[in-house]
Amino acid sequence: MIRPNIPRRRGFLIIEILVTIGLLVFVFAAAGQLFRACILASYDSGNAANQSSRLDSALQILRRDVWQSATMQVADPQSLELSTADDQKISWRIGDEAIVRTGPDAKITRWNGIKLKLQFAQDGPTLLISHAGPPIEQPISLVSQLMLARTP
Amino acid sequence: MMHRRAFAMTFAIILTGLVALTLASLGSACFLEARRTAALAADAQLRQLLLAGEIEAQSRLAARSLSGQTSISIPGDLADEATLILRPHPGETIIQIDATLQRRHMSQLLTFAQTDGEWRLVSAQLLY
Repeated sequence: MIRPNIPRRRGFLIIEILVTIGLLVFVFAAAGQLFRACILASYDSGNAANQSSRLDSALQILRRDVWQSATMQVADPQSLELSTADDQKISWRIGDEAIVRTGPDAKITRWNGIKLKLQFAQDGPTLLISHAGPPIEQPISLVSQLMLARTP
Repeated sequence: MMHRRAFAMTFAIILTGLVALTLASLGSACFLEARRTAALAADAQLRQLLLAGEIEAQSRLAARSLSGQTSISIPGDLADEATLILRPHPGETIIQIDATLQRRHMSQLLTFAQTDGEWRLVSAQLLY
């Protein structure tokens, strides 16, 4: 019987397969981490931009209210009562995840999704808004033009 | 014939694309944040100018030297890039103060009343 002269292909050693599997696991783990970090970074930066935009919008209205206020009263760190020169009342309240303004006409405006634990404090004609830690390291100062002008 | 599937290359390209997208997104967020910070700093300066404008308006009312639109000279480094203008409305009890800094602008409307011969501010409204 004549055996055909077919060249035999060499197989893989078990050690080669184990090393390959080890390398693949390492590469997939690193790729997974990279993928997760990329997705989280995009998500977090979007959330942060959204929150800062809502906070800016609320602060712009609050600054205008404080600027024209004739009296200011911080009953507790989460609530603020303002009254204008023509005795219109405006109140602000900081909730768990929202800032709420009640205008002189009892119209309620809410800024939802602000997860910062903000606190009000008063220093003469200045309203201070503070937060323990980032992103607001130092208190934000909002001044009342009317109260400042009347301060002797 | 053996088909090369180029799995590793495809995988690497996808990952590189993902990282590039994330970097672009973070870069855009950083740029917007830097621009917002610059705008907030300019706005803070504008409010300081408005507060100074109120003091100036009150002193000019007391001295009866406010006649028509008046530009207030600003001292120091701000002189080149900022302006402060008092615009009395007819009757002179309402004065609009306009402040500009670089390309940003802010105004306030002040109402004064005279009691016992002294001008007092009775209302202030911040205009954007």
